[in-house]
Amino acid sequence: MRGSEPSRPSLITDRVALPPGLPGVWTTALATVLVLVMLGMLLWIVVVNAFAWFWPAAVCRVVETDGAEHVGIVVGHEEAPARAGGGRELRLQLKVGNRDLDGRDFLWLDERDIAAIDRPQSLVRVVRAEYGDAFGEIVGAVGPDGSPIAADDEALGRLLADGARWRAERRRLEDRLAEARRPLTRLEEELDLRERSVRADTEEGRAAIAALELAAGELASQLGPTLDGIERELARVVEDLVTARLAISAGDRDLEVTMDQVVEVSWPNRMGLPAKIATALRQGVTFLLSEPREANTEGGIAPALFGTVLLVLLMSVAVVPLGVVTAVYMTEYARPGLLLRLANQAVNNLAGVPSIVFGMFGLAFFIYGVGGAVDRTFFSDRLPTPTFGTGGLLWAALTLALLTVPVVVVATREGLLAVPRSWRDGSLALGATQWQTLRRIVLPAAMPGILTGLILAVSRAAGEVAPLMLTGAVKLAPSLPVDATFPFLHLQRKFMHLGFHIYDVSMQSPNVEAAKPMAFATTLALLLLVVLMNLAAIVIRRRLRRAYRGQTV
Amino acid sequence: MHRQFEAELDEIKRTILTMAGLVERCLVDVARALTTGDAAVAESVIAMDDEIDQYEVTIDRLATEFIARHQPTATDLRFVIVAIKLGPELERVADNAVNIAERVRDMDASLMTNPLKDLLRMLGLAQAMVNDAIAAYVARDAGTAREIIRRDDEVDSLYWQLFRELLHFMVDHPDKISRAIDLILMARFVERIADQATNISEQVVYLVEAREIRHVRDGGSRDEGGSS
Amino acid sequence: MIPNGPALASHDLDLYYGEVQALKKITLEVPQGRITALIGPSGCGKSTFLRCFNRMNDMIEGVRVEGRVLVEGEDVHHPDLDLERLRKRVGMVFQRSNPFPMSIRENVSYGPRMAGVRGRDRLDEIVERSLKQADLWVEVKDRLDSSALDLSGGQQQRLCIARALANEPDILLLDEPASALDPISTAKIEETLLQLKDQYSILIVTHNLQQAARVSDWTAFFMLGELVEFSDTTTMFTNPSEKITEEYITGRFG
Repeated sequence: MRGSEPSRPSLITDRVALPPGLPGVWTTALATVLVLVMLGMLLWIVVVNAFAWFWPAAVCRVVETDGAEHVGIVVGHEEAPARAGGGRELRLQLKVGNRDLDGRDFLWLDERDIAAIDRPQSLVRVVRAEYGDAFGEIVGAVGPDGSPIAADDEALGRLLADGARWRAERRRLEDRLAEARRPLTRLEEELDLRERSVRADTEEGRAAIAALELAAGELASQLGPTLDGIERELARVVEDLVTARLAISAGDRDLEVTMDQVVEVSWPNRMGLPAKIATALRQGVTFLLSEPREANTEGGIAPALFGTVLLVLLMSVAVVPLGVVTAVYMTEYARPGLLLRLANQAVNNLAGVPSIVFGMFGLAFFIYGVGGAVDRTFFSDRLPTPTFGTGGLLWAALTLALLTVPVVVVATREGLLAVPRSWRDGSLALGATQWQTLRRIVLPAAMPGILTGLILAVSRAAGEVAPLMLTGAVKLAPSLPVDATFPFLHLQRKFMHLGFHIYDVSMQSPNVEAAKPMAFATTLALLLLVVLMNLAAIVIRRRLRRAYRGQTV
Repeated sequence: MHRQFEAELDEIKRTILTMAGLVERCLVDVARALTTGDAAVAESVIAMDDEIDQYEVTIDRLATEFIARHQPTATDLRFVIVAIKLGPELERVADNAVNIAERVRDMDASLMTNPLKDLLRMLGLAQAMVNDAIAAYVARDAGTAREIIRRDDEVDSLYWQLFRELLHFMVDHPDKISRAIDLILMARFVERIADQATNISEQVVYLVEAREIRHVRDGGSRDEGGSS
Repeated sequence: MIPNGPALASHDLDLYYGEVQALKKITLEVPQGRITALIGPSGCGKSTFLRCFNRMNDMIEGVRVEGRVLVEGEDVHHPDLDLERLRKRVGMVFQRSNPFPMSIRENVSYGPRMAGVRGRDRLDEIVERSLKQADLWVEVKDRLDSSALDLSGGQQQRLCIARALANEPDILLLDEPASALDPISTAKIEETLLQLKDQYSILIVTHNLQQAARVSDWTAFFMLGELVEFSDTTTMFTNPSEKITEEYITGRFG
C-alpha cells in the first residue's frame, strides 16, 4: 500500500436502495410482458371462440313462464335492455336450429321469462345436410320400406347405422357414375365451349361442333347400358334414404328428417367427459377433412386447407429460385456501384408495397395480359370463355411469389453475407471456380438464411387475402385443382383458401351468428397450419445451423 | 524443429569430441617423444597444431549460428556456452603440448634420467586429467569433474618438487644449466595442461549443475590457465 | 519450368491499392526446394506480396499490378492464364485456419474433387497421403467422417496444410500459419514444414523472427513496401548488411 497518497474509496459499496439500472430493466420487461400478453390474448380469443365449434354442448329444454317450450343449445348471455322496474337482467341466446321450420336459427329469451331449464338425456342433436342442425327428441322413426319403427335405442341405432351405410353407398355409386360418365362429360363440356366460342359461326367451327355432337351421341349410346345400371342402383339407394326418416319433437314444434338429410346424430346430454373429448376430436378431424356445406357455414374446410397448402407450395417453388438467384447475383456477381445500390433499394422498397397493389398488378399483368395472350394462342377455340385469362391457382401463386420475393431476397442476401470470407478465400485458393465455391460452400452455408426467408414468405402466403381475392381465390370452387384427369394439376382452376374462407364466413355469410364458431375454428386451423409449417422449417434450419457452425446467421 | 535442433547440437558435440581426440593423441605422442627422444614424433605433434586450431574456429562458428537460429535456453544454452569455452582450453592444451614437443625436438639425446622420470609422471597425470575431463563432459558427470579438480594439487606439488630438484642440480652442474632450464620449462607446460584440464572440469560442473565454481573461495581452484 | 530456376520470382513489381502503393519495385527470386521467409513490421507488404503469386489479390477492390510475377518461370498475369490451374500448382495456407463445414475427408479431398477427380478409392488415397504429409493422419484416421470443425486449432491448421497438399502443388504459400496457435502446435507445424522442404518450395510470411530463424533457409526483409534485404538466414541473423535490417532483427523497432 502506498502510504502518502489519499486512499481511494472502497470497492465494497453501501447497499443502494435502488440500483441505478433497474428502472430500465423494468421498463423493457414490461414491454416484453405486454407483447406476450397480447399474443396470449390473441390465442385465447381464437381458441375460446373456436371451442364452441368442436365441443359438444348440452342440449337444453327451456320452458317459458307462459308455457312455451323450446329446445336448443345455450350459446351466450347478454344484457337485456333495461325495463321499467330497473335492475340488470340477463338475456339468453338459444340456438334452436331447425331453420327450415321458421327461418330462425336463434332465439333470445329474457331470464325473467324463463320458468325452467333442464337437460333431458333423450334430447338429440341431428347434423343435417341442409338447413343446419336440428334439436329435439326422437319420438318415432320410419324404415326404408315406409313402415314405422319403434323409437327405442336399439332400433334407432340400427336405423342410423343403416342410414350411414346407405349414404356411403350413395357416395360410392355417385363416384362410379361420374367416373363412368367422364369421357362423355368431357365431350359435352368441349361441345359447350365450342358452341359458345367466337368461332362457332365459322365453317370449321360448325364442322367441329357437328363432329363432336356425333361423337357424343355415339359415346352416349355406348355407355348407355352401364350408366343406366348404375343409375338404377343409385335410385334404389336414394329411395331408401328418402323414405326412412326420423320424427323429432322440438319443444312446441315437430319436424321430420329423412335419412337422406342426416349427417350425424348425437345425444350430447348422455356424454361423459371422455365421450365429449372423443367427440371433439372427431369433430376436429371431420372439420379438417370434409367439404363445406350451407354456403361455407357448415361442414369442413378440406378444400380450403388443400388449396392453401397447394398455393403455398406453388408459391415456394416460384419464389425460392427467383429470390435466391436474384440475391446471389446481387451479392456475388454484380459489380458494386450506383446501379447495384439502386437495385438493392428497389428490392427493399418492394417489400413495403401494399398487398392489394400486388393483387391489381396480378390482375392486370398475369390475368389479362399473359393469361389473355395464352388463351388467344392455345385456347382460342374456347373463347370467350377464358381458360387462363381469368383468376386461377397459377396466377395467384405467381402474384404471391412477387409479393414475397423481396423478403426472400433480403434474407438470402443476409445469409450469403454471413458466410465467412475465409471459407470463400479458402475455396478459391484451392483452385475452385467461383461457381463451384458458390455451389459447394456458400449456398449450403447460406441455407439457414434462405430458409428464414422462406418461412417469412410462407407465413404471408398462407395469410394474405386481398391479392388472392383478385387473382383466383373463390368462395366455393367446383373442384380441387388436383384430380385424376390429365394433366392432374390444373393450374387454371380457381381454388379455395383458408384466409379467404375466414373473410367469407365472417362477412359474407347469410347467417353470421351461426357462422361465428366456424370462422374462429378456421382461424385456429390457419394458425396451426402456419405454426406447423414454420416449425418444420425451423427444425430443418436448426439442423443446418448445427452443421454449419462458425457463422453468424 | 526438433530434429534440426538436435542435429545441429549434435554436430557441435561431435566437433568438440573430434578436437578432444586430436588433443589426446598429441599428448600421447608428446609422452612418446619424451620417452624415446624421437624428433620425428615431436614434429608430428607440432604439425597437428594447425588442424586443432581450425577446430576452435569451427566450434565458435557452429555455436554462434546455433544461438542465432535456435535461441537455446537452460541446459541447451549452457551446453553451447560451455562448447565455446572448451574450444580455447583444448587449443591451449595442444599449444602446450607443441611447446613441449619443440623443446624435445631441439634437445640433444643425453637426458637426465631422474628428473625426466618425474616429468613423465607429471605428464601422465596431466594426460589422465585431460582425458577424464573430456569423459566427464561426455558423460555429464559432475562428481568426476570435481575429483579431477582436486587432482590438480598433486600435479602442482610434483612441479615444485621437480623445480627444487633441478635448482639443486643446476647449482651442482653449471654446465647443464640450459638442459635443466628446458626441463623446468617443460614441467611448467605440463602444469599448465593440468590447469586447463581443471578449467574444463569447472565448465563441466557449470554445464551439469548450473553452478559457477570458478573464482570461488572454498571448494574452487585457482584459475591458472594462462595463454601459451 | 526451368530446371534449377527459381520457384517464384518477381521483377520490378509494383502494386497499388487504389492510390496507395503497397509494393515498390520488388525484385526477388525464391529458390526451389527451400523454405524462404518474409519478415518485416506490420503493413510492410509481405502478405500482399505473398498473395501475388496465386492472384488472391484479385479479390480486393481497386488493386493494380505492374511489373512481372512469375511462377515456375511463367507470367501469372498472362491473359491466357488458367487461374484454377495456377491455384492448384500454388497452394495457400491462411493465418486463421479455415476448414470448411464438412467432414475431414471432404475437406482434404475438396481440391481434387473440384478438379474433377472421381472414384472413392482414388480420393481416399489422396486424403491419406496428404494427411500423412501434414503429420495429421495418426490423430484423425479413425474419424475421417466427423466434422472438421471439431478439431483443435493446431489440428485445423494442419488440416488446411493437408488440404493444400492434396492438389499436389509445387509451391506452398503460408501466411503466418502459426500466429494464432500455442507453442506446441506451432512447433508441430514448423516440424511439418521442415519435412516438406525437399518436395516443395515454401514461401512463408511470419512476424515471428525466431520462427524465421529456426525454419527458413532464406529470408527476405520487407519494409514499407520495399525489399530491404534478401540473404540466407544464417547471414541475415548473424550479420545483416543493412542497418535497418539489423535494427529490426535486434528488436530496436517494429
